[in-house]
Amino acid sequence: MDIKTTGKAAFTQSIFKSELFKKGRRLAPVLLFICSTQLIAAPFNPSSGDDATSGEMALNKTAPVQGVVKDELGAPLAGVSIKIKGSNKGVLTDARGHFSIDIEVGTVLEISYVGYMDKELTYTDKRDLQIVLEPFNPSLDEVVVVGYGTQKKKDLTGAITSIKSEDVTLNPSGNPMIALQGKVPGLDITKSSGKAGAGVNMQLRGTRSLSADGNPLVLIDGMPGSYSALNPNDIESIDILKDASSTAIYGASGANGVILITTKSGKEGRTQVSYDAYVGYNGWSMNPKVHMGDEYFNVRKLAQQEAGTYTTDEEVLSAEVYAAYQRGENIDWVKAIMASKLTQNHSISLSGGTKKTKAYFSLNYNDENGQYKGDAYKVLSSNIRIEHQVNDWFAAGLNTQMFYTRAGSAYSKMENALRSVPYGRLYDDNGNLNVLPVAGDEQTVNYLLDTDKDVYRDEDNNFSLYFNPYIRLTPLKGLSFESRLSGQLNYSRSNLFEGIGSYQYYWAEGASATGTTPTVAATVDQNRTYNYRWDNILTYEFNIAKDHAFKVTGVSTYEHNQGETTNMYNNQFSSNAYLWENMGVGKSPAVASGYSMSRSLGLIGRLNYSYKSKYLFQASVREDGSSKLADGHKWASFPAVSAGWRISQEPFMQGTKKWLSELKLRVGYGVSGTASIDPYSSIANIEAGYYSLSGEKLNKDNYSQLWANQDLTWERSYNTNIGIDADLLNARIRFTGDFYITNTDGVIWTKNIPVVNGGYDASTSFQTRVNMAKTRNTGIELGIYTTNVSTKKFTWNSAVTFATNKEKITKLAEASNSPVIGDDYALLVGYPVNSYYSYKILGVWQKGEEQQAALYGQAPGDLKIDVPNLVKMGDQGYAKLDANGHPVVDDNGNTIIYNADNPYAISDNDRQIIGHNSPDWSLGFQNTFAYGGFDLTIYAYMRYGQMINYSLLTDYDPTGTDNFPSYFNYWTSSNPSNDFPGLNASIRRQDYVGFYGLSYVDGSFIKIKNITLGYTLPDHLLKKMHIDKLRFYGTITNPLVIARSHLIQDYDPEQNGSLDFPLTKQMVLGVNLTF
Amino acid sequence: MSKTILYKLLAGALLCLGCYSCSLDEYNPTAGDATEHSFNTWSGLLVQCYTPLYDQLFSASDFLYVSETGTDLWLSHNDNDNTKELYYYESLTTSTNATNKLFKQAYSVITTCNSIINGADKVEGGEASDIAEMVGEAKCLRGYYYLLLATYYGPVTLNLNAVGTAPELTPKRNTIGEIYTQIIKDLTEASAALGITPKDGIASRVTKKAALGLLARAYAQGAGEGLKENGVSYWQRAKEVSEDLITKGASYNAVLYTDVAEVWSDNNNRNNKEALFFASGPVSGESDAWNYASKSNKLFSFTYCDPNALPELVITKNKQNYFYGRVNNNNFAPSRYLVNCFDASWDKRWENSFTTAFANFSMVQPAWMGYDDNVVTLTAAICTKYGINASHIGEKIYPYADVNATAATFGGNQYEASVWPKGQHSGDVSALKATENVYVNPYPLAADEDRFAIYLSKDKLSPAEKAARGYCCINIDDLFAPDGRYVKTSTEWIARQGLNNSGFELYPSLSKFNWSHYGMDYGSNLQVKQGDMFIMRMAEVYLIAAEAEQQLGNGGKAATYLNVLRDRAVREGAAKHDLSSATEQDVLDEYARELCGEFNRWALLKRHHAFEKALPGANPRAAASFKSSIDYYRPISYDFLSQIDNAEEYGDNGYGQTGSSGLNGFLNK
Repeated sequence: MDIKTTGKAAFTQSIFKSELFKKGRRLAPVLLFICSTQLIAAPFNPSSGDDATSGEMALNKTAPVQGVVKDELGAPLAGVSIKIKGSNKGVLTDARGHFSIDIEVGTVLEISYVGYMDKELTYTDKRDLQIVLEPFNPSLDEVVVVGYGTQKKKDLTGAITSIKSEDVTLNPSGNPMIALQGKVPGLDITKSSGKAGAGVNMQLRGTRSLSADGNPLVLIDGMPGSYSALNPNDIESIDILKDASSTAIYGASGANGVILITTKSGKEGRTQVSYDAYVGYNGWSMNPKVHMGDEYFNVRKLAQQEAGTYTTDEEVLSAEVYAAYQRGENIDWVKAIMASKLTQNHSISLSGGTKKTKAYFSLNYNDENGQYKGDAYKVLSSNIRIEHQVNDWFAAGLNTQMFYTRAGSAYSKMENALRSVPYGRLYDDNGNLNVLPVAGDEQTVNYLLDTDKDVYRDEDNNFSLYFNPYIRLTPLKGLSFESRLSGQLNYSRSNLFEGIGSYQYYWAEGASATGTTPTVAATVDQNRTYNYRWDNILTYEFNIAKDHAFKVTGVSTYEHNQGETTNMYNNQFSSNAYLWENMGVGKSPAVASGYSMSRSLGLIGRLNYSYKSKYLFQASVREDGSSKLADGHKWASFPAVSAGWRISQEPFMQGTKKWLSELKLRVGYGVSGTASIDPYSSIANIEAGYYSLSGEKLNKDNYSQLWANQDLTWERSYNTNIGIDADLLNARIRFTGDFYITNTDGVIWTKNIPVVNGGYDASTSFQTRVNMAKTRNTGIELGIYTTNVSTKKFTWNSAVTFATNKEKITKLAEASNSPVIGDDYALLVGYPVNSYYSYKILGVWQKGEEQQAALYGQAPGDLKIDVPNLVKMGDQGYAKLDANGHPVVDDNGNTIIYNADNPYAISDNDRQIIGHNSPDWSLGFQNTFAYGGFDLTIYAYMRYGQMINYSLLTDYDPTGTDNFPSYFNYWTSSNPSNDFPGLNASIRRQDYVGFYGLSYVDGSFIKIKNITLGYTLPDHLLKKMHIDKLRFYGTITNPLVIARSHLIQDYDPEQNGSLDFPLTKQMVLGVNLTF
Repeated sequence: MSKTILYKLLAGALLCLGCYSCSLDEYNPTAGDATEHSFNTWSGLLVQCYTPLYDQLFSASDFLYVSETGTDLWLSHNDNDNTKELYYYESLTTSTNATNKLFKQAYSVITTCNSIINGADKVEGGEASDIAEMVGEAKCLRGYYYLLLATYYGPVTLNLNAVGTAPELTPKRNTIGEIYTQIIKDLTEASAALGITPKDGIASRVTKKAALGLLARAYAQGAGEGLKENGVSYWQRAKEVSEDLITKGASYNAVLYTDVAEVWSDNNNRNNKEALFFASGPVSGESDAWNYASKSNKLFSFTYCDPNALPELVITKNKQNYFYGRVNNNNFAPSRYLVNCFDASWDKRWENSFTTAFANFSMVQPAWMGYDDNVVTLTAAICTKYGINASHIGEKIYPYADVNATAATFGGNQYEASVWPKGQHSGDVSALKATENVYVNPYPLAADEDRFAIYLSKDKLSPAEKAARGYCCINIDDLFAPDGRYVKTSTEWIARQGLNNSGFELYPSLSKFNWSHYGMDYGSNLQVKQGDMFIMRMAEVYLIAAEAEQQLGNGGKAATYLNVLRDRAVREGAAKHDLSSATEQDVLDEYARELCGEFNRWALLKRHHAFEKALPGANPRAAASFKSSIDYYRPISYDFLSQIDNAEEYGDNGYGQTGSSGLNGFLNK
């Protein structure tokens, strides 16, 4: 026997079979929204092949049937178990793969073998069964959703990560994106706020753009949708397209990656009902501990002693505050304003259908409560999918999603509360709130006033409807045409009311205020968006000479986005009872409205070619037109090519098959864009308004802040991706690795125009958007998925994801040695985009360093700041080098020498790049254990090398007036600390040069993100109850965080410096029930 | 399935593409249809050119600091380091907030002025005479803004181009001569084009007298640079322009009040007759125009001390002080030189400029605070602490003012104070008396006064004189350390006058920016007072005339102009104190008395090259740090230098950010 030929034939066959296999069992629900190769294949080969997956019931007779079991290369498999389903009867194959068994027509056989996929077949009166088992290789046979289509994982040439529904629901949360954290190498996800309903920040493969956010394009079933309110239980899979060869097909909006969410659809057969719910508590955040009781008093006293202004204890605090302190009235502000709150989620779904009509319906209710009273987020959502197959060439369907969210925001000022004087009483003897915790001390107004819904209310609600009808035609073999329309309606309303008796009221008007004032105000902001999109997708799939498989895809996509806003404001309401529901009765109404629209059109062509599923090739191009760009620049082209080589399929690799079942090399190159251009960026305007001169209201006009740039065009990322996929030891170890280089050109910068050209107003620069800079990102992404232990009772799986990215600005239009300074960041060639630009603090000047400090006009206790380009000039002193490296000279050309007599004045000009906000690398590590019915998942996450701007550190108040955390180690004449400058009642924060540089700190951390313990009831019990699945579980989120810097204590650095909404620990108990 | 269906489908799909590929245009109704050629829009752009005046320059502290501190007039409260860059030239750099901002504020609307001037001949609609007058307005404003730039920053970029589409990223400097020539040209042309009365009767729009006044100021300032016009010294031209304004004052509607108190009367704040040019504050009341004005003037809170620093005496915290306002920024304290400049025995400009007696107030009229609630009874402890003779124990200090609260639809409650007559303790509102300016305290404060709790005495009171008074007396001289700085610590204070209290927190408080009048409040935001602010007033023209005459060698003639200002300041019953001839120092002293705090002093010392002479006696910290080679020009804006591509070439005026000052070659006359 010619092994080669046979092997090839069997191989081809097996591919074919696997497609059919999938078609019947897994693909259909996944592929509802796209014309697929599989559906076309159906009429081509209706009763498919020799593995007897279909057929009719024949005569009812028993006879010994012979058979042989082989692997995908045609080699016989020995010891394969062949069992009659529903009985204990079974046989094993012999050394030649042969077996013999007594069965009748209609008997279902279960074939299983370690390392190969289980198989079932129904016997149809065929005398000798030829059974081919396929290696168990979940990674390869998965179907992956790609742009405007699907592909088998083994045919992929791009960098795509797939997440299955189990992973999405593993970590109970209202927002499915939280589940992706650390699981997609290269997609950096952080959650910076513990506010109820807070979303996540996402950045794929490092920052490339200066002004655009890093959010990937998210599509739900191929169409725009809202992922934040999507019920995680409705998700079938999430596919993340990372490299440009995959995302270029999305053109001007593909550079940040594309996240394709596929929702569950109806399945043929019995209606299946699922109920998923969890209930738990949200809270126990880590909160910095500030000085309490005597500690606060002692700090203030010490500050005055250090300043030489201390006289007596009575004079340390104001008389009222001192009296409160003497009475022992202490307030733990954080404890007063925060508590753990209930959170719950209930989700029910129905799925079912006939051969022709399938439907899926779900309803979800999520109720999350934050730690502040009034901080609440409720979602009611529903997902409906219906598809009807009219005849063999025509199908139509409808997907709809509806959301209603209602959010309440608390007046949440944790940072203010931490700074407040910790003395006084929050409640009077009758249990009513005191306006001032310390009577007579107007500096601190009771933050709890705003917990009364009658005096303060801040509510948002949002209704969204996504309505996506489609038709699909499959007129010829291999040809499919799908036309789908997406209509989106979004209506949101934000209401704010600050009434008589609110915190804001007493803060502005004084504690004795009564009656209405301009502070008593209500705001209603309404936004409506109407978007529609129309996609037409034509796919033609054909083979030439059997080994050459082609797939051609053509797409047109048109999008129209339109938004309208209305805003109302009024104040001086005579009663709190009006809230925002009778805006007319105030005294000083203000209204505004706005409108914005944009349109875009994309034309796409793509070719896939595969030779024997071994050499893979893909090329695509998208022509993108946009209304946001000026005439002549409206159209842009985004091409991509990629290729794959399944090395393991080569004959010369057969020797390694035993331990290396799959090895693939992928190489891709593509161009994608960043949608960082706002509507109207290319049109110049004059803004009309009013101005008051001498009490007369005059028409005032001014040039709009943004100067139009007619030449503005998309930022373009040129991405090269090289990837390797490998499965080792029967897929016990799966490895995927990618290396990429992304050069982004024409990066848009909103440039402040130098004021000699005029200004927008007396304090605001004109701006213009220019395609100014170039950036380069290089990185490595690794994913290793292992099955460490796999026994009948116990399994242990691990998943490690690792990503490192180096980002760098390679060109700025400016003179390259001077940084371009933004709000928080500065841009400088050679440095990452989000580089912090501030004073580099070396520590604190200590006693004994007076002479060195005098060079800067400073003294012990002051901050020691690194001054770049200050060089020693012999014994006489120091000289400063200018941007060109020459010493700064006076007008006579003499170098200016700095010394104690002529101290160097440290200024903003001495700031430098001190770190960057993006991590050097991040790591996700998940371990899943299963024993019997129990499952345990522990998920750890680590981020390293990022700097954060942690404002709490600059809440340090050298005068001692504002309270600050007790772990802050400040300098005093007897404590030579290097952390914080000297405590001194007569030196304010801003009097220390470089003080605000203190807030930049290493934000590296490692945390246990969550631990889940579950128990699934055994099948035999469930069967009696007619239940398919019943699992109970408990999850704890954020149980442990370790920060690298000693300046971070009781704080989760994942918050990236923000403080008012600490990340909570969440403990929930949940149930998954399917029947 | 036939092929025809397929072709139909394909054709249909292509058709779909075809029909929507043509619609990639934007639609933006929010932009309206304004073009700069329509008269209405063009007029609206002119209004924009006024906005920096009250939005920033004359309501934020930055310009006040740049234009008044670092001189012989002002020191920081308690000798603190707050704004030491400007008070004392310590660590003054390109990124110092106030100088960095002023550069932008002064430049912000110059190109808009240019657009108005350059585009005037393309304007469609509007009367030619209106257009000509409005071009005059734009030129007057442009001249003013360039004068600010030339005064503080020296030779900078003279940009006469309209707002355009291609920003200049490598701007060049112009010479100081070129810039002044343009300023003079603009102001001269403006003075010809502008009317005697303001356009549309809107008082804060510039008129002929504003252009002429600024022209006189520009000549004087340019004279300090040594400039000449066709061989004629700028001093000569300053003299001619100012004398023309004085002699033909009536024809220009340029007036000097006969009594200096009228200048500072709250009733005269709006539409002040002496104003040549003023920044218009928001007007609270029943017009919604108030909504479209900048409500941020907190200047008084910088110039006032907080009398509640002596909490037993002035009992209301600044946050609820409906009388003085929320005086919480307290930093702008007069130097000993400035205090001594005034001979208060005859010159009532002292109490018209400085509040030195501090009182409690009631709010009987709106029934917010009772009269009796604000009566302070002197206890033994109070008397001991504040050095009040024990014989006054048990005596009461009554409220001085009663503050009414009148609702205004726009602007909220308006707080107007009237005065309880001396000796009238009934608390009966019918006894209340209105005043011209409630912050002008009676001078000298009578020994038997029972309405004031604290008195900062200009004349050094002896222990015996103090003993006669039932209120806390602090000798202003005691607030100063021997070298002229303000006392810094309590230790120092105790050593200076023997009492352990917080008296050193107080200082004579410039009251020129404080008003108590309907229409000038921002509701309960007591930190804001929104009166009109002088940019230039007629008194300055007399000072310029005197200054120019003195510089030209006519001391006697100079004295005649100064005497006009001195005569109207003479207190009732006092003798005139006329000068027969004026020296340069006499001129500088008169400027201090008349215009202290009015955004003027730094420019004056600059044009007289007088920092080296004036600082040592008055402002020792500044004298120690002032560098003649650098500090005659404020640092070029750090933000600006960061935004241009040629910062090294442009230079920073010598503050070390760039390799050299960039001034070389641009200081030619």
